[in-house]
Amino acid sequence: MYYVDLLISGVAFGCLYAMATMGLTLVYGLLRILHIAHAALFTLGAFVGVWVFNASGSLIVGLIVAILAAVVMGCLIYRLIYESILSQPPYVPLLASLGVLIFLQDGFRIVFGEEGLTVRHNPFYMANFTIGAFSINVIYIVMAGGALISMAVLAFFANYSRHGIAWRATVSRPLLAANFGVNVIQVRYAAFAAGSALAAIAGVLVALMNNLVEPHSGELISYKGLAIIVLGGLGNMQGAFIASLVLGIAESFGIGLAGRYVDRDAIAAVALIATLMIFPNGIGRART
Amino acid sequence: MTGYHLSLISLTGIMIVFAVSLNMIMGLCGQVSLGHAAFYGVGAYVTAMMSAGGVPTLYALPVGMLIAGLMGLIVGFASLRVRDDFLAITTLAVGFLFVGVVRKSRALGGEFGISGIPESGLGPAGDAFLVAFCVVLTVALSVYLSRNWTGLAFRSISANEEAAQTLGINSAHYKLLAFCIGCALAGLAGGLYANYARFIVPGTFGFSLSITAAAMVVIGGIGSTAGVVAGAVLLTLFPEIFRFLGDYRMLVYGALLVGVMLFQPKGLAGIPSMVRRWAGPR
Amino acid sequence: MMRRIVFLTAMLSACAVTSAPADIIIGMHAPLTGFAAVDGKSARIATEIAIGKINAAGGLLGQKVQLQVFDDQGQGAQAVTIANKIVSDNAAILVIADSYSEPTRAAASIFQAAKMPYISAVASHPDITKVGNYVFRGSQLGEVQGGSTAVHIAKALKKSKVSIVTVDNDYGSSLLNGFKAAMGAQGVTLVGEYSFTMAERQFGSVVAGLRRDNADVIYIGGYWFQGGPLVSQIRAAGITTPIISSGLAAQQFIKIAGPAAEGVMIVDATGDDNANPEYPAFRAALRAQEAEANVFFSEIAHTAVDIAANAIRRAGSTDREKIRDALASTKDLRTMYGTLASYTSGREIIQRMPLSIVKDGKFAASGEMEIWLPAP
Repeated sequence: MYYVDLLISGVAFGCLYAMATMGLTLVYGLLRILHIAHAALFTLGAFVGVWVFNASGSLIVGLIVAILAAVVMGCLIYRLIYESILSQPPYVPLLASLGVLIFLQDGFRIVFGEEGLTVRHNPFYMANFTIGAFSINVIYIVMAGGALISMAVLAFFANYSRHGIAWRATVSRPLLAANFGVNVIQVRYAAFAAGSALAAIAGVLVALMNNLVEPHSGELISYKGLAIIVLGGLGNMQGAFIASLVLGIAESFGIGLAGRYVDRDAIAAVALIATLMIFPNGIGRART
Repeated sequence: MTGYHLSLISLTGIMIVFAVSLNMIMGLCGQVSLGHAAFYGVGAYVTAMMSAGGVPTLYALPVGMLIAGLMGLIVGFASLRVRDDFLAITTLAVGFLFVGVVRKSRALGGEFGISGIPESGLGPAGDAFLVAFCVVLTVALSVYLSRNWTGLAFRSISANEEAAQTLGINSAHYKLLAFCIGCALAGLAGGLYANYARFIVPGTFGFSLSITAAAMVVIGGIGSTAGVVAGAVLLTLFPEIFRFLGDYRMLVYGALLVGVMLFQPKGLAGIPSMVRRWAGPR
Repeated sequence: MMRRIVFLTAMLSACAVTSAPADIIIGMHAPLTGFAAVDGKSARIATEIAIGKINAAGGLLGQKVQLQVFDDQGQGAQAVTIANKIVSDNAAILVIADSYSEPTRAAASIFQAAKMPYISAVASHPDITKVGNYVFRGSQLGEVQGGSTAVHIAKALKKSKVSIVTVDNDYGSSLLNGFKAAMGAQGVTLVGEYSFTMAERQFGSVVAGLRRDNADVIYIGGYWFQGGPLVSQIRAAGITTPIISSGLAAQQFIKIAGPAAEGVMIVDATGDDNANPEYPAFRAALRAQEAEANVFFSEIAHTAVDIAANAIRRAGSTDREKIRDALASTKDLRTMYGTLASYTSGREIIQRMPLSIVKDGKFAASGEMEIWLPAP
C-alpha cells in the first residue's frame, strides 16, 4: 500500500515535470540554450492564473489568461534576449537566462508581494477519490491527466502537422531545413509558445495543489529541468518524458525510503553525475 | 580605518580571490563551472575544522587549499569526459552533492554548521592584510599564467579544443591543471571566509554563491583578470553601493546580468577598447 | 507606495545617522530582502511600532529612542559587515537580531568582542548564546519546544505513537533532538521520521509515509510556507490524525491551509488570544501597515524591544556593561510573547509555554504546556 502511494505520487509528479520542462527540451533542441528562465514562466503562469481565478471565479478563464501571459512572455524572452546572442559562446545565453530568472522572480515579489498568493476557492481542496482502501488526491489525477493530454496533443502536432514536421526538420538539420523553405524563425516562436503554455498549465496545477504560489515557486523545475534535458537527450521529447517519469518516481521513493539520511538534491545529483559519466552526451539522441 | 572598512576590504578581497579562481577555469580554459561554491566550501570546512581543533589559521589555510585542489582534480577528470553544457550541468550537480552531503554529515556539524572558530590572532587589520596578501598572490598568478605558455595552451583549448589537440597540446593535462589550480584558490578563498565569518553552515555554499561567482566573472569580463577583479569588487559592494535601491536590488542585479550579456558580452573588461573605438579616428 | 517611500527614507537616514547625539540608538538587523523577506518585514514593522510606543510615552531615560535597521539578507557574510559597521559607528547601545541563525551567530562574536549587548530575538541555534556574556536570547529554544511537545503528547494528549516531520535546518534539527531526548522517559515512540528542505512544497512521499505509519499524533516542525502546503496535503490525502506543530504560528499558514488548518495545535504561541492588554492595539497597528503575515515573528520582535527597554530603564544609564547586567537580572517581565520569568546563567529565557489551536480560522489559546528542559 505504501509503495503504491509512493508510486502514485511519483507518477503524478513525473507527469508534471514532463509538462513543466517540455519547453526547455524544445528550446534546447532548436537553439542549444539552457533556457533556465523557463522556470519564471511556470511561476508567471501560476501567479496570473491564481490571480485571475480569484478575481473572476472561473478556473478556465484563469488558465487561459495564464497561458496567454506565459506565451507572450516566452516569445518576448526569445525576441529580446536570445535572438541577438545566439552566436555567442553558450555561457552568454545561459547567464542572460539566469539574469532574466532573477529579474522576473524579483518582479513577481514586487508585484504580487513576497508572501505570494493563495487560491480563494480551491476546487481540489481536500478532494480525494476513494476506491476501497485506496484514496488518491484528485489533484494528482488532474496533474497526470492534464500532462498526458497536453503532451499527446503536442506529440500529435509534432508528428502529423506541417509545423511539427518543420520543427523536427529544424532540430535535426537547421541549415538544410531552412534551404527547403522552412521558416526557422516561425518554428522557434512556435517552440517557445508551446513550451511556455505547458509551463503555465503546470504552474497553475502546482499552485492548486499547494494552495500557494510564491515568487520563487519556479525553482521546483529550474534545476530539475536541466537534469531532464540531459537525461532525456538533446531535444528528444519522448526521452524527456521518460526521464521526467523516472525522476519523479526516483524522487518519490528516494525521499520516502532514505529522506532522513540523504539529502534529496544529493540523490538526484549522484544519479545525474553517474549518468553523465556513463553517457557523456545524455541517454537519448535527438530523433529525426 | 574602522573595523567596518576593514571587514568590507576583507570580504571584497575574499570574493576577488574566489572570482579570479573561477576565471582560471572558466575564462582562461573555457570550462564552464556552475558548482564552484563547492570548492570554496571545501576550503572553508577544512580550515574551520582545523582552526576549531586548535591549528593556527596560517597552517590551516594551505591544507584547505590542498584538499580543495584535490577535489578539483577529481572534477577535472569529469571535464575530460563531458563538455560544454553537459560539463556545466555536471558541475552544477557537484555543487548540490557537496551541500547535500555536508547537510547530513554529523562529523561536519550537519545543519548546525561549525561554530567556535577562534580568531586568527592577527587582529582585524592583520586579517585584512592577510586577505590582501592572498589577493596579490592570486592576481599575480593569474596574470602570470595567462601570459606564459600555459595561458596560451588554456586559451587554445578554450577557443577550439580539437584544433588545440591537433597542434599537439595535451588538452587533458591543461584542463586538469586549470581545475586543480582554480579549485585550490577557491579553497583558499573559502578558508579566508571561515576565518572572516567564524561560523559556517552548509547553506552558504549553495547554487546561488556559484552563480554569484559566475556573474562576477562574466560581468567583469571572462578571461580578463583585471576585469574579473572589477566584477568581484562591483558585485561584493553591490549591497553597499546600491543601498539607495533598497527593495529593488535583486531586480537591478538581474537586469544588470542580462544587460551585460546583451550589450557587452566581454564585460567591464571590454569597455576600454570600446571607448578607444569611439574616440579613435573613424 | 507611500510605505515604500517612508521605508526608503528610514533606511537612508539609518545610514546617515542624522540623529541628535542625545538620542538612544538601538541597532537591528533582519532579512528585509531575500528568502525570509516576509519575516524580516514583520519584525521591522513590529520593532518600529514598539519603539514608537516608547517614544510616545517619553522615551527612555528622558531621551528619544532611535532605531537603526540593517538588511542582512539572511546571509552570514552580510551580517558580519553590518555588525562591524554598527560596532565601528559605536553609536548603538544595544543590538537586536530579528534574523535566522546563520547571520545571527556570525554577528554575535563581533558584538561580544565589542561588549555590545545583543539580543537574538528569533534565531534558535543553540551556540548563539554560548558566544559570550553579552549575547541573550529572546525566544524559546528549539530543543525546549521539541522536548516539551513530547511531554505534552504523553501527559496531556495521552498518546504514544508519533510521526515527526521537520525542516532540514538548525531549527528542525533542534526540535528533533529535543523531542528524542525527552520521549524515552515519557513512553513516547517514533513510528516515522521525515525531513524536508527549505524549498520543499511537494510532500507526496512524506504523506504516503504518514499514511503507512498510522500514528496517534503527527508532529510538524517548520515554517508557514512549508507547513501550509504540508498540512493541506496531509488532510487532502484523507489522513485525520491530530497534528501538533512548532513554528507555524503565522496567519499565512491558516490562509494557505484553510479548512485543513482547523484543529492544528501550535506549540509556544498565544496566537490571537494573547492576554497582554496592549495586544489589540499592537495588532491594529500591524494591520494598518498590512503586516499581519507572520504575527508570531512580530510578537517576538516586539518582545526583544520590551526586554531591551526594561533593561535600559533599570540600568538607569546608557553604559553597555550596566545594560548587560540589567538584562541578566531581568525578572517577571510582561512582554508581547508572554511573561519572561528570568534568564538562565546561559542567558536563555525561562518562560511558560502556551499552546494554541486553530479554530474558525484563528489561533485560539489552549492552555499551557509543561516545560521540559534539556540536561545541562
